[in-house]
Amino acid sequence: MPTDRQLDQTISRWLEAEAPGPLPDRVLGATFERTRKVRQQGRWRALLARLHMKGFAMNKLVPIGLGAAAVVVALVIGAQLLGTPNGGTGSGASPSPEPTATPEPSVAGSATPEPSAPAAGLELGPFVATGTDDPVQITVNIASSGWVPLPAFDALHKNDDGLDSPEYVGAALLAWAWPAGTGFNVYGDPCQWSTTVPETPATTPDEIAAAFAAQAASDATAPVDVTVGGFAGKAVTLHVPMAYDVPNATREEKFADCDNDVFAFYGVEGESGEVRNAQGAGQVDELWILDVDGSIVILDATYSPATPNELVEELRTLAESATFGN
Amino acid sequence: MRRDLVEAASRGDHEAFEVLATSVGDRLYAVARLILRQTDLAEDAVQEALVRAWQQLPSLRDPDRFDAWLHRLVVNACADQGRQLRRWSQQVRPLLLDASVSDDTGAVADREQLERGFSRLKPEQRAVVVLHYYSGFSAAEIAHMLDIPEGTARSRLHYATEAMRAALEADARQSTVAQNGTA
Repeated sequence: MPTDRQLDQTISRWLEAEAPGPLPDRVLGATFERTRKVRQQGRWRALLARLHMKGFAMNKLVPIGLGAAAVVVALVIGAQLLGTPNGGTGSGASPSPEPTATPEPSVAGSATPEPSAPAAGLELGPFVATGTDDPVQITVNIASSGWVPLPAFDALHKNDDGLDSPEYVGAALLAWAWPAGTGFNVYGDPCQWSTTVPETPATTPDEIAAAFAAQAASDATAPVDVTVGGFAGKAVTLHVPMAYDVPNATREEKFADCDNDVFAFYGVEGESGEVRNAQGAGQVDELWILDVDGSIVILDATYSPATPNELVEELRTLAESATFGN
Repeated sequence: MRRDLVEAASRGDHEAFEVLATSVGDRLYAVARLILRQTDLAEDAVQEALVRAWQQLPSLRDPDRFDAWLHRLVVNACADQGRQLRRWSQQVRPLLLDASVSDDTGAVADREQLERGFSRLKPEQRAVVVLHYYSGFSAAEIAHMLDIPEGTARSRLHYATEAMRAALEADARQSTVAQNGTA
């Protein structure tokens, strides 16, 4: 009868002997062929991950003047010309709601800030939130200090504290645009999102909002008519149930019962996986879903139960200041 | 260096991802092959795991957990492969023994018994055995990786180890019986 140690060694050696040779190159080749065509998921999580980068915490952000901003823009352009990796998400003919950095003069931050680089607060006034390749250019009015852009994600944020909801005290506005005809897969259940993809994607603000209103678990408000920047649409508010609040758990652990450990609100045809997913329990997403000359614009104002009311009001004002152009 | 690659890949740098995937591909393939016992299924599982890794990399907040996270993806992909083919729970496939291969595990009969004992394990037990005895993860690490309580991981490991011990001892008893000429 083998001792425990002998048995451990026997099993280990047997497994080593049974292990196959190298992974065939064709498998890696086929894998990369697929990954080059699919987008990375979790743009929101990626956004937060960037915010959490060392030295890039919100409380270290300081406003900079236009001169410094111009230098940063020049560096961005230079980096692009030199081919520095800047977070591109692969090729593919799908719509591109995840543009890379834009050299818009009003952009006061790099798409890929170095971990130790100070991030810039925005000057007050108009700010183009979308990339140059997007079907609609979304401009918002920065009316208070402290808002920080993340051009690669078409987003602005303020008071990020590096925590997930419900502890997160900050607020963020995502300003995303898709070409006319884009199909939105609003999942029937954000937790079981991979198996509750609708048979027919929604394509209009009415359809998208109605689908959110019918979505299980997100406790959506009834859609209401809205007009932003002269364009009509629907507004709806989504909530992530507090049942997912697991103290000291990672985001994946909080949503461990959900598909791929993700609580996802919707996906978009032509993009792999979910587009918008939740950070944690109690998260609120106020959506303005607009038809802008056929293109679909979704302004997503997101915050947590811990976000101060004043900041939420500031966030709403920011969203409702949006104007649109091509 | 590796952390830099993970961070770059998570920001969408596909070249960085290719370097990472290539560096871990063989190891993941071995884990998948050992769990699934079938080459084509293992190849599919690795491919699925790597595609998911690329897609979900932005959600990985701690780059230092990349390896453990990848192992989790490959174990999940193995489960998916098995479920899709309805073989996950009853995959029992005799090992093709190569008697010319010499190793420290002892007699071919031992290897046969190990294979037999291993094949009888439930898939989740097989995964724990491979992650512990082949990949070198502790029970606590496996628990974290598979999102199961540590006690469950230890329990699965204990049961699986004892099952393989029983398989070896059954073989030893048969040898003794044969040598003694009794039925």
